[in-house]
Amino acid sequence: MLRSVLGKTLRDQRRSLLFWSLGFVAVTLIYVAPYRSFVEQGLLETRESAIYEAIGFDQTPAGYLRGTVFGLIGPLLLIMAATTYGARAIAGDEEDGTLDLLLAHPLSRARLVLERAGGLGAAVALLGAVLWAAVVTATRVADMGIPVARLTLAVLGLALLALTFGAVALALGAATGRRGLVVGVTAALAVASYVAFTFAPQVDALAFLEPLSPFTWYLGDNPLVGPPDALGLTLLVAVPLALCALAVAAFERRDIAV
Amino acid sequence: MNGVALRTEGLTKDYGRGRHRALDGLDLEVRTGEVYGFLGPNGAGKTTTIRLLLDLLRPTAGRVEVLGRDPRRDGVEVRRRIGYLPGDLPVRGRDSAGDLLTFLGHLRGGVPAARVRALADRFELDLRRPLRELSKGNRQKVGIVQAFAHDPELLILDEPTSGLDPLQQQEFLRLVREARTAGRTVFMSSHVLGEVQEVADRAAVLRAGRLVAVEDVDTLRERAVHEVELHFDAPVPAAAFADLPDVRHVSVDGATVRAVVEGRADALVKAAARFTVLTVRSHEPDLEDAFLAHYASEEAGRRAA
Ligand SMILES: Nc1ncnc2c1ncn2[C@@H]1O[C@H](COP(=O)(O)OP(=O)(O)O)[C@@H](O)[C@H]1O
Ligand SMILES: [Mg+2]
Repeated sequence: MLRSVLGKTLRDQRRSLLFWSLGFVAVTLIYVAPYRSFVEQGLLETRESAIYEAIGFDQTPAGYLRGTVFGLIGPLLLIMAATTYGARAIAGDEEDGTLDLLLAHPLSRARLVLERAGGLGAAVALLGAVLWAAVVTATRVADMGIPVARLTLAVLGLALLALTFGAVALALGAATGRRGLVVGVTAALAVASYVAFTFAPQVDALAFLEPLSPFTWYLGDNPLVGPPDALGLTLLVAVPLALCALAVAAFERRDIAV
Repeated sequence: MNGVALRTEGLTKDYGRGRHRALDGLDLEVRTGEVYGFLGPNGAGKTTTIRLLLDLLRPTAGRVEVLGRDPRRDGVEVRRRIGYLPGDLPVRGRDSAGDLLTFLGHLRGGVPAARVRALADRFELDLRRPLRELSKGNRQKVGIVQAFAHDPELLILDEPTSGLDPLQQQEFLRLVREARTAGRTVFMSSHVLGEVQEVADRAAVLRAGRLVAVEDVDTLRERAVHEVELHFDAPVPAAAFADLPDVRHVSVDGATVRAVVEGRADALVKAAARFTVLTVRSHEPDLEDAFLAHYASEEAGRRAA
């Protein structure tokens, strides 16, 4: 783990990765495992309502998962984790003063950004895998009857969604070196994207925003029900890659703060 | 042994939107194999210069050449051959000093563990301690170990002795002398005249981002300013100490005379010899005072010219 920047990055994150993992497992179990008893107690019988429709919630297994783990709490947590890692990748370390010493070694700036991006990708992949295992287990327990392939597709989309915002944070950090600003702007973008996906379709003047939201790329066609959204997934891969390239370009041309 | 290890030409750096000029047209040339002191009071621009040499900062104007290369274009290659001691070693996370040194060694493709241990032992540094529990002095030792561990051709050291106690400072200066004996080049910044006088061959003096002088260290020593205090057996007339060459800031207070001597003390001693001298005390002021004196006279000279 001390042999490369990427290994060191993951090693430095081992505690926080463990805590996030425990959080994902706990949240998934709390939401999903009691699904049957929620249904039996009638807790999920909702009236027709614009809000429920907007967040895609209904009491079918797919609707319930879409409205909770995949549409709300999962994105919230995984985007938070990815944003934290993305912001720390460059801006956080720069504010702590550790980039100065690192970049005084035979390590190019591009290499640093790419290894840090790799660390971000690995962290999100790990948390995605934990979430996947928890969701698969919990849906079995609750006897929800959703095929593993569909769950896998949904978790993949969710992980890529989080990676997108992590990459936004990485790129902003590479450009500015200011962690507070990075977290603030990334969080604002994530909220705006969620709103654009969830509520813009109901307002004619804002409807054009919906296809621009990464949430749409991930959840526009409910991956638990519909066919895989090839364009959406492509965008969710291409945008983080493009952001990494931007991060390298921005980081190459500026001063490193002590 | 007469190559050039590093060179700057008209190196200029402005910070921030306010365009604060931290470095203004610096011309430096450090020869291969010499120990070069880079002297200046706090805020003079030493750290700025050093970080420009490492391509951590980008110049506003001017050129940098390190080991014959452009650190912007060939940064990785240049930095492979450099050891850098930062002004303050950052400490984050739970890593031990040994972990950090292992990691940094790997960035260089591996550094002999025996050499790391030998250096750590030399400075009595416990490598198992977590970094964030280390005192400033112990952090400085970690910095020294990582800078010297791969035995680089060029050492760029930013205030290397800060935080070290006097014995460790001596040990560090021995390490620098050994590096020179082995043919390495050392560029070290400092605001302490004494340590530069002890190890350096030449020194540059920087103030407010401008190069004030480049001198052999012996010349620098002659330039050194001393504060002198003379006690007489009876009050002395102030006129006897007015307008003496190389003597400034004279104050006569009854039987006591205080003055600042720059260069030779001859005139002051001869003036004092006309009276009965009880005691003479002389001490070297800190660098800042010494420099300010030197610059003040220099600038006055320029204005007069
Ligand atoms: N990141 C920065 N932003 C703005 N001003 C800076 C920055 N770093 C240094 N300075 C200013 O540049 C000048 C030179 O600083 P520095 O190179 O650190 O001097 P030294 O190392 O000789 O003490 C000082 O006036 C300092 O305040
Ligand atoms: Mg400094």
